[in-house]
Amino acid sequence: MLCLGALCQVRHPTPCRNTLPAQPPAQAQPCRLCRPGRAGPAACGTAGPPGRAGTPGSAPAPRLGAGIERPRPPPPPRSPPGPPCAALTRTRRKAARAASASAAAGRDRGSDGSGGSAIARGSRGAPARRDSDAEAAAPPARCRWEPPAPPSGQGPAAPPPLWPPLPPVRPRRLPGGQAARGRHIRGGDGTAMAAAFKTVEPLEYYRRFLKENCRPDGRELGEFRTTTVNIGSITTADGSALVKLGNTTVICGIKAELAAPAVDSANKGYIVPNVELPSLCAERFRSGPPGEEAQAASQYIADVIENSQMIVKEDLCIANGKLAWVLYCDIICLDYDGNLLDASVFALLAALKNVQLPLVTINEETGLSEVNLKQKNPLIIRKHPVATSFAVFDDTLLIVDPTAEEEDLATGTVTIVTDEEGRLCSVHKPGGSPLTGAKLQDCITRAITRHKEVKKLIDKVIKSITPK
Amino acid sequence: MPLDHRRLRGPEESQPPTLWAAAAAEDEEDEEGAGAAARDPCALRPLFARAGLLSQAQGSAYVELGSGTKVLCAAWGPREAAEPGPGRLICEFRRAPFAGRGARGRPGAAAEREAEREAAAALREALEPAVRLGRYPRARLAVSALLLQDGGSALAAAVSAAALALADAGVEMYDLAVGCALCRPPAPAASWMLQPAEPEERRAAARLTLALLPALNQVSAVLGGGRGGPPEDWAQALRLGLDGCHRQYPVLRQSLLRAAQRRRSTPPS
Repeated sequence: MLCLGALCQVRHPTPCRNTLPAQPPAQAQPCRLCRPGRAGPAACGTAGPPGRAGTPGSAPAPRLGAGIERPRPPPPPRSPPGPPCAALTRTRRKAARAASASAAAGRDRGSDGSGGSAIARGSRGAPARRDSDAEAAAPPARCRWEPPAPPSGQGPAAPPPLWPPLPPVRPRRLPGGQAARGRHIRGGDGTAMAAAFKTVEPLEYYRRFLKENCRPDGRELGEFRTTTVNIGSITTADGSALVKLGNTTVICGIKAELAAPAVDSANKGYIVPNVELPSLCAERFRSGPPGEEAQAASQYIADVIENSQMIVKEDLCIANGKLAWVLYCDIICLDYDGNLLDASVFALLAALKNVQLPLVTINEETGLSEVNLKQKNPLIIRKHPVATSFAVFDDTLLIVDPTAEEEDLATGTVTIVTDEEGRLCSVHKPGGSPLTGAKLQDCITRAITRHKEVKKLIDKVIKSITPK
Repeated sequence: MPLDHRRLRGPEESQPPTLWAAAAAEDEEDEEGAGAAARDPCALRPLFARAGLLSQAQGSAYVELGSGTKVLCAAWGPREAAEPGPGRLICEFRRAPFAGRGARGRPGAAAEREAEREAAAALREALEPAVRLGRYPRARLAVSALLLQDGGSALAAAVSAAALALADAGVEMYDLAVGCALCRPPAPAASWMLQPAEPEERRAAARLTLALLPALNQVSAVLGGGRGGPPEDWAQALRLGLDGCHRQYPVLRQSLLRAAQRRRSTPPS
């Protein structure tokens, strides 16, 4: 039995491994597929037939190695061991013979770049035939190779669930707006299982809540945590405010001092924000100089003040080139449970509204400044910016006011600052997953609503502490 | 002053407006001082203590004195330490920049850091005898105190708050350490006063801070100094301070009990 592949060394797409002859035949026979004189002997990569070797001037036509450049058909099924293989080989050889017979017809088929080699065409045509025959002959399930099915479903493939699926959950709204986590699953076992699931697969745990359009602490996706404001508690500071957004607690104290204005901006005062994340607010913050997050937050607050024109620096100037106010705004986070920027901006706004500056006049005769501590005026605050932060989940879902756990699981964050006329002051999106324009517009709308809520709260508090 | 690259920079120098208003202010303060002399030297100011209020720390406490001192303290239970040997207590004391009445304390300045380090060392001295460090070998217990407003007796309030926070974190202790401060005004025959307010402390000739373990009746730290007078005066001051600590103890215990009840009634999240 002769195997075509071994004899003529033609690169057949299906190297048949099983029927290699023990010894090469004494006389190399020309390849059955080769048609001597038809397409040129050089088209076949055979080194065997002596007649070909001596042919002078035969330009090395593109060998069948060039056939690799042609788009190859999908590799036909490998021959499995056992009886079906022999059947396959037989069918293949039959097909090959048929192919060589009809190679004349096959020649006109298929335009290929390399000079019309019959073998190439034949070999190209043959596999298709072989495939169909093989399909008919062999059991389809085993020999057939299919490309992998495209992933079904939208978004990233969800990992296979490790735990038995939890019952669909709807956390009850307990009085006080606090649905304890895990309480919706009745029974001790359920709570323990939920806690274990949360530890092992926090993202999956979270996704199950998001599917029901709520979050583990019972809030809707667009709902803020309970906001509390306390103004004027630190009497050593000129203005102070304590803001609690759920568990996140931020205190802002403002101290006003006098300094000479800078040389290049002689009519401007200074506002110096300073955000501190001491080690007591969360375990991951170390004591010492401010870390990356604190520095970024400080710079962000400075940008918000500048962009929103909350306090115009010219208002802080007392005497051009000689004396100006410096407002040191120290924002200290006491408890970090996510959404630091919102709370900081809110605390800053509330503290600034609480500041009372003494009247400073410059005595023209002596040139010294006189401070009248009895008479105090509030600051002129032109705009009231309010920040709203969102976390992006899985590139699609937006949730408002993330807690620390949600911030860790999120793929991106957006912070939007609006002022009271519904105008946009700043959009801060430090990297993270991309957002469509429509989603950003939704965020802006939500931020405008939030501004109204916050403004109402601040006005109420300020009114309650002003002496009648 | 060396540039602090990590914070936003303001002007090179700035002065508080009270410097210029000094002349008018001093008259007022003298009046205040005369009025305060009539104050009962043994009177304790109202004390507010609450434990278990921070969500991110294992134990926390907030102590507020009637004169306006506000201290917030957080504590973390045993964490693994690299060095072998008995457990260590690591204390940290920070002043908020707006805590002082005068100029704003510059956070990165060397003087500030030095003062904070001294206060942290004093805190550790006061708390170490109270904590059963032998039960936590090769462990690190961390305590971090933040002074939000200084109205006098800041270190004493910090000691009480830190002990409360450690107890709230579940660290094994022999007893709560209660802090009490005293001061003696510069008048020649003045007597020692308990829990001075900030102006009194500023003008005082001698200051003293005591830390006591009331149930064991053992003093864990005595800090302070100044021109106090004859030694009997100092002994009398100590007795006054111990009495003050004993009187504050029930309030702190009550706050711990309430925190434990609150923790038990809300379900674990």
